[in-house]
Amino acid sequence: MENLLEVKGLEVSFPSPAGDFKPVAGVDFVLEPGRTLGLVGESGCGKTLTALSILRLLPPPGKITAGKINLQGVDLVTLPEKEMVKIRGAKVAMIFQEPMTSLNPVFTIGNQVTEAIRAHQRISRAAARRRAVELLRAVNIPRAEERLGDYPHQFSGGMRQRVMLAMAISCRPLVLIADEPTTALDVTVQAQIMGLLKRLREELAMSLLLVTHDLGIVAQATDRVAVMYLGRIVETCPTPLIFQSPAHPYTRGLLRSVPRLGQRIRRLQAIEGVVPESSLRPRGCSFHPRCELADERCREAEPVLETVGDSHLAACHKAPPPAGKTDG
Amino acid sequence: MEADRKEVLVSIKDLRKSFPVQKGWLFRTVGRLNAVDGVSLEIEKGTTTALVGETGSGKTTLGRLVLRLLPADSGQVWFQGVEILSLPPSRLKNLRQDMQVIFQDPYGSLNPRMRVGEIVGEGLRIFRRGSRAEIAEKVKELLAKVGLPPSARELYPHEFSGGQRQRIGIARAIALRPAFIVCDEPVSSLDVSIQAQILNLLSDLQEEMGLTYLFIAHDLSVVEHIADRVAVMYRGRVVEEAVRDRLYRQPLHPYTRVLIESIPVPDPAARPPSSARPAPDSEDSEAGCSFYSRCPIRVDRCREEAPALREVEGGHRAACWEV
Amino acid sequence: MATVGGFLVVAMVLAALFAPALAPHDPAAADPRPESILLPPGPGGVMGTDELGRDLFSRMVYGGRVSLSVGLIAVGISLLIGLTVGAIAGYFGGWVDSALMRFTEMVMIFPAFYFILMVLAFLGPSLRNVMVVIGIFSWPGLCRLVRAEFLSLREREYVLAARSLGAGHLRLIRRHILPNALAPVFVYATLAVGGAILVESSISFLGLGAQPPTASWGNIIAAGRHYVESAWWMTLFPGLAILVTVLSYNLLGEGLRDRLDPRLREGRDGKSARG
Repeated sequence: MENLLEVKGLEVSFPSPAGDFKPVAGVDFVLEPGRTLGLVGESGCGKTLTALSILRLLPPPGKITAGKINLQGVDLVTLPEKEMVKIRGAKVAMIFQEPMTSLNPVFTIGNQVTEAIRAHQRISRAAARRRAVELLRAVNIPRAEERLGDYPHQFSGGMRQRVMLAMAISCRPLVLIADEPTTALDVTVQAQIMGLLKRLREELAMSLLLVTHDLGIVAQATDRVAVMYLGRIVETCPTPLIFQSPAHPYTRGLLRSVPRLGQRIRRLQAIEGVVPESSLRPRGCSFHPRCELADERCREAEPVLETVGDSHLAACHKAPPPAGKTDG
Repeated sequence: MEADRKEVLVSIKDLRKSFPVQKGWLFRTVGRLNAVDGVSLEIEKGTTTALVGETGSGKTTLGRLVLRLLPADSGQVWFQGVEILSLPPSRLKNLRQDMQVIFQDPYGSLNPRMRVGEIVGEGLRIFRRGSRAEIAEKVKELLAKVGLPPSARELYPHEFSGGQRQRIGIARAIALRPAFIVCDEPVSSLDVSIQAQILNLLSDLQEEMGLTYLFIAHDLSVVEHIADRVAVMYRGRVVEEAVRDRLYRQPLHPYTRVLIESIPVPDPAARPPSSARPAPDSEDSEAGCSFYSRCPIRVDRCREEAPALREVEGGHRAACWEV
Repeated sequence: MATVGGFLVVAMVLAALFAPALAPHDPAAADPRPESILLPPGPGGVMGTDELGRDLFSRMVYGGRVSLSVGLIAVGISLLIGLTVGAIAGYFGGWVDSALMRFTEMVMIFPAFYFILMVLAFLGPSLRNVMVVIGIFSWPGLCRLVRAEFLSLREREYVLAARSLGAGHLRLIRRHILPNALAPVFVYATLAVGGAILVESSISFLGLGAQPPTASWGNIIAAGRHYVESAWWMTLFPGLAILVTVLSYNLLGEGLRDRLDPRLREGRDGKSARG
């Protein structure tokens, strides 16, 4: 299948007096049309910065220092800001973790949704308003017409995330980036929002880049997954494979430490140690200080993403070799 | 199971607390929100009772009422045979040694201007448990117990990661060797790999020190790993309460079922989480069941009359007309 | 900029401390001979002489001493009252808070400057009275600041944690709330010193503050205003001194604001920026 969005060797660095530090240090992934890619990792792994890089919305003084982000063959990294403005919201849209702070408290919902529509489409105010009502209905907001005049504080967290979603899909983007869209919400509301995201992705034939730390959400909502650790992708494969045959020890550790409903065990298996600051990236494989399999080679040489199975890549010296290629 | 019930350490009786609701630019009080609306609960010694609910269910408020960190409107809390809500401040202070709290936010719960050694040793100093040197020695022991190096004493909280800060909070809570600890969402702001470390630490400490936990959480999959009994709260009331296995295997209340079914399971082959009816825009009528508008199995009676929490069978309690 | 402010403040404090060594002449030694009065800045004196033939530079240095001590003592009094009242109101809340805040607002709505003048007219002009009166009328702002800080800090989880450890009121205030409330208080107090110096200069200008022959920047300007056209130095130098002083306290206050918070300090090193 043709790739819609392709990220290659992406590097983000923040200059600091103590030397540049690179929270994103070489990220590669592809997003196919109409598919959902889950970008998974723990806090500080660089997943949010990777997502923000695609829209070129890095918080200063962060900069993309290497790599390519190809959207339909156009490299977004080198695109002039003037052109980039036409991409944001129109071809690539994003929703964030905090629906509380992503909406402006002093404007009505109707105002903000029509604003979003008119930013990219030359239509009249009245037409934009009609479109706003349609959008709010599309995201299941009851009594959409009446609620246009309400302010963000009159909406619950889940309803606000719906409004954000309505704004994000207003220009029928090719790619929707959702950065932990349900982390701040209750689990029952989360189920509703995830259901809605899935439906909209199918109806609008969008591709979804879902940034999350929740392996449950990955299992339920994605086609493919990329696991990040300390600014790099350590494993990527079709979603079912990551649960059946995880190749990277970090992925295995992550899967083991998740408490699962109905599978109570005496002790949860934790990954020992802590995630180091990205400014103190360990030599060799950056996971080696926490890895039980680590040996001399892991301490010295950095592994690269290599095929370990059918469209399954992992960056680990200890990963099993691809099946069927064993000589003997 | 139910026959050999253990000794009850904490007994909560019809506890209530409401907060004024203010509206408009004049902040007039337009009503009262019943954050905790007549909760009764018993916590057995040496066990973990989990209190589960979503935002606004009143679970955190309940935890604070039980420790008398917040004054209750009415009701009683019995702890080791003493009713603590009516206790004079002088006697309450002594009781504080036996009940502690661990908070959710590892950033907001440690004083940014105190060194870790002072934070962990504060209780020991308040109750004069030894000389300066003895306390310093004890703090080292406590830090070792929660898996932190002795050098941590000299550092400030902001020099630690979230998981390490939570360990500091735990060291502070166990310093006075309490009998009872309220754990208020202790792992919900941590990464999964760290979450498991902290949950294991809490279990180890429970075993070693014979602790009793009231474990407040919103995540049912975490609770299943740590709780002996589970109480589910919805809008200030306990709607279901049972031993862990019963609650997960045969949930009685429709809200508990919705909660369990909403959890995304980390297995692509599993059924997708169900999405129940959306939350209502307006409050239900005062008289009826508070879950009425979201309930998949409601009947007319539910609108008119609120069901009380009653024992259905063998220590399994639920507040629903339809069970 | 904060360093510039800090540097100037330190320089002025040192000048005030070592005024006797720094001043070439006795600030009160008059030399009313026609050839030594109203001399422009030059070899006779870096800032010239005044209408009584006194060395203006020496008077400026001693005047700085007056300004500084009035500023510090007045703000000290205001801190004492403001901190106490604000801490009690914010910590206990409820009716205690309401009562104390109504009282604070009453003091606040007084047209303080005129009231200060009135009180001084009754008690008689003297520097000691100026300090006390400025102190007594300038605490409400500080008090409200302290109260607001206490109100929000007492709800923090670490304060709750300390309460659950059995900490008493005094310990909670001294160890947990006050240290975290001090940063904005210091900033405010620094700015207030500049303000108090300005008020003192105005009062002395009106003749109700430092009494001749004691020098103060305010009364030097007052005397010099009769000679604006012939002896510009008598108004320019003290005017500049007041301007620079107030400005440097403001700069210092701004700088302190960032520096007093350990978390902000961390942020500047770029360590806490995580993805």
